[in-house]
Amino acid sequence: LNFVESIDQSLIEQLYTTCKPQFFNMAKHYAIDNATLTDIYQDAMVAFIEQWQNKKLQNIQSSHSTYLLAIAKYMLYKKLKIANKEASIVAQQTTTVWDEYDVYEKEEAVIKMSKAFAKLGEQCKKLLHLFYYEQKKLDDIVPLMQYENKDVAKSQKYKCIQHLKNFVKHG
Amino acid sequence: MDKDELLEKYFSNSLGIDEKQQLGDVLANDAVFAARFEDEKKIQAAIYLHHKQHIKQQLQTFEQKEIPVKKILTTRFLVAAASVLIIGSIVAFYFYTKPNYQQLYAAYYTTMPNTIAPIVRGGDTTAKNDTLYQAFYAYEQGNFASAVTAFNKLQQYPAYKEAAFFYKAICLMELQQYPLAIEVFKQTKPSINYNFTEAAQWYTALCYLQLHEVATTKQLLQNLANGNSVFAKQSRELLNEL
Repeated sequence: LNFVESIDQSLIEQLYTTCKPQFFNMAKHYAIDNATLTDIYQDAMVAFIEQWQNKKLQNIQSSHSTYLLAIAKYMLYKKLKIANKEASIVAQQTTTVWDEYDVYEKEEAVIKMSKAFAKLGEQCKKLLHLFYYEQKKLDDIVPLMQYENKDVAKSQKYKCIQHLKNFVKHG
Repeated sequence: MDKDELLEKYFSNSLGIDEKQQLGDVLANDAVFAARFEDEKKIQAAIYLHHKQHIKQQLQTFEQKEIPVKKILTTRFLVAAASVLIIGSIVAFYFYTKPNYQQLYAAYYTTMPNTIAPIVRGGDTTAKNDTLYQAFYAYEQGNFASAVTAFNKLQQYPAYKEAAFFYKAICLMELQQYPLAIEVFKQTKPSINYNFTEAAQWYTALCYLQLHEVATTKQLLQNLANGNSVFAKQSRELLNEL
């Protein structure tokens, strides 16, 4: 299951390498080491790709590089705990899901579940990915997974969650 | 609306205002449902985390292409590293008394403003296909790689040739391609329409500063300091710090 199959890899690579020096140049005035800066920049790129995949970039009025840099700045200021008008505009423009999950992803249970997710069969992975990551309704998942109807989708989702919890429990 | 439906709508990000209120009420009054909701949010977070790690692995490959790092930690390597450290300390002591070129560059470098084709939001849409508009729009957006491509096209128009060379070189500086920027600045000659001679000298001096070629930097700054251009004062100031 390739999560980034919908995006042109070379485009991502070009965007990543082009914007990185600009971000580092902007951040050079702050006392923050390169490894942390790279981590922040990569988090911004992840958020950008998530927005892209969930088709939330269609409402963005700026170019991709400007938007990526705005997310990166937002994350940098958040890390440095600096209030910034530009960053708050970015936060208002889109639902900042990455903020919400920042808290969860430090929880041991979530980390374990993330590892367990990798062990699931392809069908379960795809179903849970469509529902929780791509935020699709069960009605829309039915044709994608070739289920008979919504009830089947609901029951499969329940079974997949149980498989996931079993993997967490038994390793 | 039943609870399952509320949950499904929450995860498909399609709850209306009333439904959000309804979900809030149910969560406050039904502890079993609240636990299930929290459980599913953690599943969602776990999938996001899995996805994030997967993308980060891919991004790491871009980093490795950028800076190849070989880790060979043999005893011989450690002995060599210790020698380098001692020599390095002596060299560092020597350089410690010298100016920090990176800091000076950061202090004196500012992106050249677009003085050729101001971009007006909501302006004439017919102009948006023009090479001139595309080049300076990308430039103002900070999309310097795209701007370089557009300036390559723009330099074929005689009226904008000099401006195209000059701003392309600025883009290359922004992309940290300093030797290439120097070569392009050399092609910036004064024309009937524009004269970027002093500006090109100033930015070329900053490129050489980044490359730690201090003698050339000083020579270019001295020429500017002796002149009457807007770069004279800052050239004198930078010379004093070198």
